[in-house]
Amino acid sequence: MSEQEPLLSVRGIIKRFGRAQVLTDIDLDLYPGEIHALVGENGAGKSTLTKIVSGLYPPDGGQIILEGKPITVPSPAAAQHMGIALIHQEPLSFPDLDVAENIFIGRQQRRGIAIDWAKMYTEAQRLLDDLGVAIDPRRRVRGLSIADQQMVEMASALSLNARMLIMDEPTAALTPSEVADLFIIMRRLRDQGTSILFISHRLEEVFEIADKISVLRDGEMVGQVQPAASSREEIVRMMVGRPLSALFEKEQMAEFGEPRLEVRNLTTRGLFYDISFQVRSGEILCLAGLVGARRTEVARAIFGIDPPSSGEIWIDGRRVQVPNPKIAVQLGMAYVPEDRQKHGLLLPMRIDQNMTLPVLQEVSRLGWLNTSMEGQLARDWQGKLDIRMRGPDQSAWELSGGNQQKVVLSKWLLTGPKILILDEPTRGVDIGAKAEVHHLMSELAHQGIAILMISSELPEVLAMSDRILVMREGHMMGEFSRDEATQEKVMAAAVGQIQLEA
Amino acid sequence: MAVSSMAQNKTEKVSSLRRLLARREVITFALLIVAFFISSRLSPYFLDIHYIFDATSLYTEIGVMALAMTFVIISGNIDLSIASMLAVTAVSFGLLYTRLGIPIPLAILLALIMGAVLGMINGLIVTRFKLPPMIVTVGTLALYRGLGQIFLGDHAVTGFPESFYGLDMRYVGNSPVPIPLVIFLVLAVIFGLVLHKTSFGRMVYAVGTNQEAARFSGIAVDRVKIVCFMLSGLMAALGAIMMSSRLASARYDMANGWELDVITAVVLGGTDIDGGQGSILGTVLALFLIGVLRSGMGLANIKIEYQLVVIGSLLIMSIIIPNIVRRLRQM
Amino acid sequence: MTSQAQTMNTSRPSNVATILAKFRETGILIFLAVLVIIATLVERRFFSLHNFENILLDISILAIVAAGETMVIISRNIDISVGSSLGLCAIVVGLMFKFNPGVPIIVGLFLGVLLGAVLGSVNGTLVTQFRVPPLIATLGTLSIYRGLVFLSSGGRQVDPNDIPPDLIAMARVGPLGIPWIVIVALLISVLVGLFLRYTHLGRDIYAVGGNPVAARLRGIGVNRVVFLTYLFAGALAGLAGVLYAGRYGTVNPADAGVGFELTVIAATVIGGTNILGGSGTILGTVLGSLLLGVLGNVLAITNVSGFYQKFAQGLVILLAVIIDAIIHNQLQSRR
Repeated sequence: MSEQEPLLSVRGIIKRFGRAQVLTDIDLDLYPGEIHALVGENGAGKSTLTKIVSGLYPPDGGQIILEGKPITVPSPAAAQHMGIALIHQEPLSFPDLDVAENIFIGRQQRRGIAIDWAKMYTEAQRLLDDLGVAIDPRRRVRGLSIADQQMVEMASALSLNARMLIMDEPTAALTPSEVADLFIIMRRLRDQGTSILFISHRLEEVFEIADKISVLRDGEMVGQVQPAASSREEIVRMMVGRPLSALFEKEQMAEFGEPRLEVRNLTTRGLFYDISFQVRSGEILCLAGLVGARRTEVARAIFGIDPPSSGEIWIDGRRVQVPNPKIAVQLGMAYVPEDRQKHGLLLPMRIDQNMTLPVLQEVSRLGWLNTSMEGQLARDWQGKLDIRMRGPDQSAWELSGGNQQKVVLSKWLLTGPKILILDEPTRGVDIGAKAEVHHLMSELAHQGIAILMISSELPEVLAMSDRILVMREGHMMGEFSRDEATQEKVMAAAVGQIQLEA
Repeated sequence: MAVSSMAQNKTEKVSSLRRLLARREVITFALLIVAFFISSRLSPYFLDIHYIFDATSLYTEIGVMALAMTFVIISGNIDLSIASMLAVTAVSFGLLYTRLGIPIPLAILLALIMGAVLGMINGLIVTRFKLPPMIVTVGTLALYRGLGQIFLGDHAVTGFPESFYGLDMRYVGNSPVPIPLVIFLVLAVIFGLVLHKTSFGRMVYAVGTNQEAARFSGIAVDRVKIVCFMLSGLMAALGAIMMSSRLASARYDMANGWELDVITAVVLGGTDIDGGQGSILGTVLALFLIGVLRSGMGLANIKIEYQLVVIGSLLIMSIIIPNIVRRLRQM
Repeated sequence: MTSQAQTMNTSRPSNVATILAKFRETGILIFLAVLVIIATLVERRFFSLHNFENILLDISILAIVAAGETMVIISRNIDISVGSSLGLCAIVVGLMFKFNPGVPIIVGLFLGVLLGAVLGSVNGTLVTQFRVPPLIATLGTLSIYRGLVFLSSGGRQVDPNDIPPDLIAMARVGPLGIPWIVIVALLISVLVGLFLRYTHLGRDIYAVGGNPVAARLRGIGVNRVVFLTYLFAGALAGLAGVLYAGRYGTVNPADAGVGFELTVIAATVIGGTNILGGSGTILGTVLGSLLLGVLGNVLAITNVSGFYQKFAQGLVILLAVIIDAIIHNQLQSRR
């Protein structure tokens, strides 16, 4: 690539939220015709930086420079007019409007004062053809997959002659084949001169698609490398500040107990097919795979949130029906959901009230609540899990991510479950709390609980599992014991290269 | 050490006082005091204890319905059909007695059951088909009142026995306290205890705060909603009995438009229309507020027109004032 | 291009949603046809010009107000004060005519629209500037406006003598024998329909109702759009109020427009507008109004006790939304 001016630069960007300094002195250059990856752990500041550049937040210090001239970006609409477009992880679309309108909303083509629908459809078709996707511009967006909705957003960005595309974790909700398609399109756009800033957690993807990689850690720019000249280990070291292996490992157990949970041929048409496995007392079984593998759907089926269309669930050697979560709890199961803020907690409610939700009958007599018992329970678990909170009466939304997760864990652990299902237990949790959670999991296993863990973080999968079951797009792809598993084998199965041995 | 713990106690006391004052019900209570003051200024007769008590009788029917509506709204729903349920159960009650000769106590029981069933239908439609409660209860509002119309047409049921009517004229012993008021207060205490002190009440709050998370936590969300709707129907039926007694008759157009008064009372009392927040105390205070205002204005011969304007404005103010206060505090 | 085939796999077919919309409109028409046939068989009087004229007159007023309400509901809000606004504008304009007999009716119509717009603006301001939830805001103004109706009238009615003969004539005569009121309703429906389909503001209403967050991020002035929908709804209710005076010849403050908002919302929802916002058409609302009007008329004229009216209304609303929900749920689960 010849020496050229960057399309967009930031110099000395600072951002504070309240008293927390989220970004410190960030410098970054983005060139046309380049895919630039931005990596970092949760909370490193990647999203914040992109939100500043795309006009959602104003910076508290520093400059944004577009083609050599300093600019301010007062709003996302203004950013779009300057040629900077943000593609969201969960696309912002209008489900009951058609694709063409989603692309052009707010600036539909006109003839006189009336909207020219025919022209709009033709234009939309052209944009979609340019992208190489086969979506009918006349259809409603409702029903489109996330991947297709992202395409519609990209078409919209292109219609504004976006020269800079910012993509925030675009692959998080895509199946591997959709990711491949997305990369083809990204490369084409890059070759046409578009500058692409690409955030991802998945280092394999980053190494596959990026021309440059910038690493953020704790709100500071740690460094920039070219993929060819670097390695995943180096990147991880830059992200984390310590080598990969310093992760907590589950203590080995001499032997496992009886199978606590067994599922046979679990199927829900359209989601997952023929899932069978068992988890023994003291064992941690991990459902591994990429996002979109439908592991959460399996968990939700087992826990009674979305019962399966067919298949069997066995608990402690007895066949059971789980039509709703209430029964699941009665059967001794607990489920810590993936989205802790939406599904795990009732944010406005007090911590103690959150904790006692599954066990209301235990903290009440003939229906009458024993609020002092609730408060005491909360204090007990505050001590047990070292939760940083002001008191049982504090609202859950005031806590940090790690502490919120601990409250959710407390809530479920105090039901005394025999089977614990953890869905991405350390997502959005800082390194310190992460280790605590892993330590806790190990202890629980030792106490005889059967743990089913869903995780997309390979290091966590390998460190914590006794057995690993890999899923891909709703199917079981492979099973590995702790000893035989490696990151490569698991990843290979996750992207579909190994078939399940009989 | 002692000094800092003293200081800590003091700050704790200050902060719990501040938290008490920040409660939504304080605004309603303040308005109630103001309304009382204004009403007593408007007419010297207002402060007569007999009058005050008698006046409250008029609102006990709305009152018991508002107690149930508080549950419905906190659970994240709304029931616009409540007044229609009152009308149709009143008509049915009247017909059971006058046409079918069913003795009054049994007829009362059947009417209450009918109310609960009508409420259950509301709940089932909302939960089974996952429909917005507003539109479902708009439909049942017409359906139920229409049913009342079909049963009785334009007529009124009369001919209740003397022992039945005039409930609002009956008092507790020799005191000036009317029986309907006692009924209302007893129910208010019961509803309050259930909402704030029982596991069911906790579930109601949870469902209204975050239905999905509540479901994930093992709460039978649909069942909670249906029970709230059934309470609404039950209280509508109770209101029907009380009203039939007061008017000594039943017609299909009884309580026409009362759903709005009921909702006004609940929202005025600080319950959040989106669910998850509210209290029985607030509703009770709001009911007294409305009652005091209405009777005060009535005594001062202020026309019903002005009363409508005042109540409507009050409702809007009860939302705007806390919003403004919050915005000022943030500055 | 291989990418093409694969992107389609995970998306559901589009046609079902559009088919559903058409299905609904045809469904209403079929139901109407059945009603008409049954009614005519039972009572010959039904199938007469005079009767049809009656039906059209009734639904004209409904359709005008419902057009405004449709816009409000599409934008994910609600307005339950339209009945009171109608009543208030009817009485005010009626009184204006009473005390100013020579005034041309166009002035009255204009006044009605203006007053209605003001009433609607109050709603719009409460919802957008003061963040009052739409149900509460319009519940409050429903009371306030109804109170103002009584206050303005001083308890008196407006009599047929007070209303200009020209206005009353609008309900009787018109081009090609179609009363002017019906023409106005038709015009309004067409205009609003075109507005919603072919103008930026009209499309913005859909966007705001479909995804208010996304709409804001795309640069749409959400507050402005919501405010305008309330203004339009008020203005149309005001216009309908004046026409109401012409149609019925009398305005009774205790009666005019009371409970009307529920019929209006029913017509809108039956016509396919989603109560949760984001979709809906004026054509649907017109059909919904037609359905409710014909239903009411059929019940009255076939001597089924007029007392089945409300019940039938409620039943139709429930059936419409339940069937909608069933089909939607079917779509969701079928993959």
